[in-house]
Amino acid sequence: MIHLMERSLTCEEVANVLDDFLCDRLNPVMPGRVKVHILYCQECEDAYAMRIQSSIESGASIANVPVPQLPHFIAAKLREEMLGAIWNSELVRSQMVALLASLATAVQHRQRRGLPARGVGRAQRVVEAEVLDKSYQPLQEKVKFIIETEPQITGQGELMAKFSTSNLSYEGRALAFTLALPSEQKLSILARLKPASEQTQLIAEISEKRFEMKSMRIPSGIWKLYVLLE
Amino acid sequence: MINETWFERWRTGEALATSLAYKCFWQRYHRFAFSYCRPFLKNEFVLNQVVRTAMDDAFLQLHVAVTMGRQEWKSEAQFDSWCLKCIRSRCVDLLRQELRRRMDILPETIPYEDDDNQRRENLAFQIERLFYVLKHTEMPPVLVETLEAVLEYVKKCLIEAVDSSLTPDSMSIFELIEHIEISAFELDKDEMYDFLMKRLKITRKTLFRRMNRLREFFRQQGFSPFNF
Repeated sequence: MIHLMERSLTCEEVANVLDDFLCDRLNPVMPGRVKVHILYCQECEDAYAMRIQSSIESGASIANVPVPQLPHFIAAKLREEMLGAIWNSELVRSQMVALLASLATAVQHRQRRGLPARGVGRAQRVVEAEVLDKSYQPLQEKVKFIIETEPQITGQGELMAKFSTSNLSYEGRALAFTLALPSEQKLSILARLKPASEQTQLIAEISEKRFEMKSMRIPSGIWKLYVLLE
Repeated sequence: MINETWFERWRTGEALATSLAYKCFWQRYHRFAFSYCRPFLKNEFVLNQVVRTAMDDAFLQLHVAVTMGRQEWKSEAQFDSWCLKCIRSRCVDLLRQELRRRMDILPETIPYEDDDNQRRENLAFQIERLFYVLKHTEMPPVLVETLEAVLEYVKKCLIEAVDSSLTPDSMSIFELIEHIEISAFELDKDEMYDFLMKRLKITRKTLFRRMNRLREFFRQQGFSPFNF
């Protein structure tokens, strides 16, 4: 019977060859053995990690690799924070319609008493849109948009709004019209920025037909614009 | 670099803070993960894949820890060591998986590698791994006996491949591996079973039962099952 116990590497032996292992100076058999030891022995793994860490701190390491795009789980959460749900699924629709309906009743109630709907009548003619990069992080840039048509829900249950800008660099990008609903939820409707007929400005027409309430202006305080670079 | 406000923002689960953390720390941790895995994997493609997966998993863990409020870091150093630990443990897991996948089979065949030295390294890895299990885990005596017999058979084959005039005690398995020409090394499953039956003085049926137990034992220990 061969004497197996004597032939397995010890922690001291591993510690002695660690430098050579890192520099790839060992004979072909040794690295295989050292690898097993480091991967399965906690103490030696600690020592190895310390060695790597100190080599990084001292700067004797590889060049920087550019930071890749945000992983999907962070990007998805960011998008949700910025834009809320994008108006495209049945599930979202059923939930959001209920929320919008409650908002509409409040506005209609004010109108019945002869008061102007909140926000209506003193809406800004010019609004600023934040620019979000591909991973939905706000950039420093802001784009000014002129409100061509006030955001409103028409008698046919269609949400309409029209915005234009003289900044031509965002042609083909998406404009997100984001409604902040009660209970801190958000809902976005996207429209493409297209050049107008005279080629001096970009126009985005927001239009969504599936709203089940009628004739309501959307108060200026509850919506925001974002330009998406994705 | 980071202060209490940042921690507070992370704690409240603000995604923007998490993404800022991602941008701030990614390069540092990537450098660590890369240097950590590089000595283990020679293939650049596999190396990059392992490092990238380890990074993503570690940041997911960080994201979960922050948003679920599972961790409270009091200082930057604490936070840093927590992250490094995350990356380390993920790297170890992935490297184990990767090396296991490459060298699953013993002793039926030696996994195909172009490079003879790489094949020697793989063989050494497998045998050291068996030694490691023998040394550090409590195995039922019957299984220890069987595993030792398997190793003995491997050694016998190695001696035949290197120089048949050697005696089993004159060189260790690893010294033999250093000297073999890989193409001359062959392991035959049937021959091994015959050897084991004679060595352990058991019937074929008992041997098969023991081999199954051995495979099961390795599986429980987190090693992949042996293909013998």
